[in-house]
Amino acid sequence: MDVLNDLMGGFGSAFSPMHLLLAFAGCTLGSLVGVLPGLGPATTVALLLPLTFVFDPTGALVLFAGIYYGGMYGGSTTAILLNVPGETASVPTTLEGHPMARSGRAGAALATAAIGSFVAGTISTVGITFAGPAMAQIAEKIQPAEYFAVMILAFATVTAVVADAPARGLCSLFLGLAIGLVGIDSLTGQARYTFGVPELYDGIQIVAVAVGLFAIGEALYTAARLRRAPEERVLPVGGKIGMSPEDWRRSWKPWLRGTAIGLPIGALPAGGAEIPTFLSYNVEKRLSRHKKQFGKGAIEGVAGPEAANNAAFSGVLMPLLTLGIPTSATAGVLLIAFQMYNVQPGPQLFETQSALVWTLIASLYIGNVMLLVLNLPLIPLWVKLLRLPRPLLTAGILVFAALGVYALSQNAVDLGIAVLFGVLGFGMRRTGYPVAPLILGAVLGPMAETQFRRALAFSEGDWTIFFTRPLSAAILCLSLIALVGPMAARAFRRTRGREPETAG
Amino acid sequence: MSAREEAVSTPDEAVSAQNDVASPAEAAAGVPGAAAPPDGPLWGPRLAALLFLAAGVAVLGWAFAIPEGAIDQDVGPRAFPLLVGVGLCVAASVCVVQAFRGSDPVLAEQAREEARLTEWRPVAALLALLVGYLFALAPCGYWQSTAVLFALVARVLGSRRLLRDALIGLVLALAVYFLFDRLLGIHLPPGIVRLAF
Repeated sequence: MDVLNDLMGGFGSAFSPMHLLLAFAGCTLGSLVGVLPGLGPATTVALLLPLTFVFDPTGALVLFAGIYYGGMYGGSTTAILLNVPGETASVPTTLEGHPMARSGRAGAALATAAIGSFVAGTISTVGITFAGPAMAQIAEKIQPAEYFAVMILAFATVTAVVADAPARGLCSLFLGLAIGLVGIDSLTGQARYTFGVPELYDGIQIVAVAVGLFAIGEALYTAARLRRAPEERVLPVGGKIGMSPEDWRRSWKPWLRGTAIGLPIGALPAGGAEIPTFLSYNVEKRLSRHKKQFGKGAIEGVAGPEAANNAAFSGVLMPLLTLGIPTSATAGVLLIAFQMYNVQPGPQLFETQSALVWTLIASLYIGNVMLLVLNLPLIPLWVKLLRLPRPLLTAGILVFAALGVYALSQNAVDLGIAVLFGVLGFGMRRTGYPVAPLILGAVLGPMAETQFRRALAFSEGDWTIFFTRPLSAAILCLSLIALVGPMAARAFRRTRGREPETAG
Repeated sequence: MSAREEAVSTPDEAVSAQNDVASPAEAAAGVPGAAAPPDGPLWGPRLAALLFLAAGVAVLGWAFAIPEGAIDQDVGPRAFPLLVGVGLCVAASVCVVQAFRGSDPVLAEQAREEARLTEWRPVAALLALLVGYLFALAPCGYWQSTAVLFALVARVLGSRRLLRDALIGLVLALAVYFLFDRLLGIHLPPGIVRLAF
């Protein structure tokens, strides 16, 4: 019962007044920013990243756990009341939650989302508690070739899931990898892609990249469409916030099913939250006795996907903590947070930073409870926030984005980099290139290169090592399937389905 | 998808009036969207694909300029950049072909939609403001330039109440300055007029 002892130690530290306060602040800030339209969890975490500069690593990560969970809660509010999914994984919630809100059942939709998230988050945290240390022990035995292959798998799934066209996702990924190359080579000390600019010797500040891509890019996008795109309307929360016995009866099974789908998929090194969320939506649609309600506001369609979403997001912490591999854009930004404090997640983390890890895990439990308690009564406040005039909101986002980036090194160079990446993010969004692979490439690239070169040093330069080791070869095959599979399926459907149409 | 369109296609004059933005009628005048040639808006994806290809070529070219390390190493600092460069070139080439053949109907539709909804002037103005802010920050001071940035950004994005926005901007900037510079110890440029507190 080592795990329980460790967890108790974690709770001991997490219940200190300072850490409780930080968890509370994180949950509040996370929901507050996450609820703002256009700001998904990745943007929320990126924007708030620099606000933790002043705390010790443990305190900062406790704050971040709150922000991470809070950002996810906030997203469902925007999806339900505004019909704006903060990210792909919130799309099913808009499909059922928004119609519910339009027929005056916003209170029930928000409640089932919040309670479902709590159930899923808590069960998943229990999962992390017990499976995490075990996974770290397995991870310790992994050789560089396999490690590299797992990273390729993570790259492949994020690239394939996010993009309709894998080629565009790959462009984004490789550009991210190229950004990760800038700076001094960690193994030989050679300067690469620095063009003699001393500020680039440490590499490009990844926080500036994230804030630029997400926050500044979003502001530019808003500016471009402000007058011609129709204004989104915030629906009023009619009636009481809460669920009728009927709602409870129809929600509890979807919560559990959503969790069961979301947690394992999220916990795979190839996870992410999109697949489980859509999967859960389809499962609920198939199993429901109220099939006709789907598309018009079926509560199961909110309960299941929201639980799956939250479970997957918590599950994502597993490969992040034990392998150091983020499998979503949000997890990528979280990894940046770890690295800023010189905490390198990976197989050794549970041993070398035991106190930190267990405080973090304990604060996940606490954060979940806080969010439930906070969110239900505060929903009217969030609704008011949603009604902030868009120009003021965007101006505020820019002020905080600039502050965060400037505070990094307290000179304007990073701010300039962030603006450049804002333009890039804006352009990519308009032309159908996903940004998540770019962030993952930039964050994971240096680590992938290290493992790549270690593997080759081990094989004395023999490049076939990645394919001759069975485990590595198998993982690489999976990556290829993940990347090419959806494309092949589409091509297959096209040739079968609409042959007469495709004349040109 | 259909749910979203239904929801957003109910224009609500009250909401937009309350938000102080320019009236939709004013903005709708002179929208060229409908008259655009069938693949006209595809210039965006085409340009993007070409830029990615150019970036790939650049990464590859500069990779050759990296001096290889000591001879006893199996893999030097050049190998991985070469891989990345080749990958970017290949992926971007596919995108170039797709964009110029216009073979992706989803992308074409998205590009048309974006072209119809985009106004470039506010984007350019916002960028100009950000670059100006970048250079004004150190000489003019944090709270001074931030207050101005806030008011002007709101104006560019359609707010018509400059005085109110300036006031909000000033309060926000001073609050941030006080919290971060004075309480948390993150240094922000004070500018010429130093605050007494």
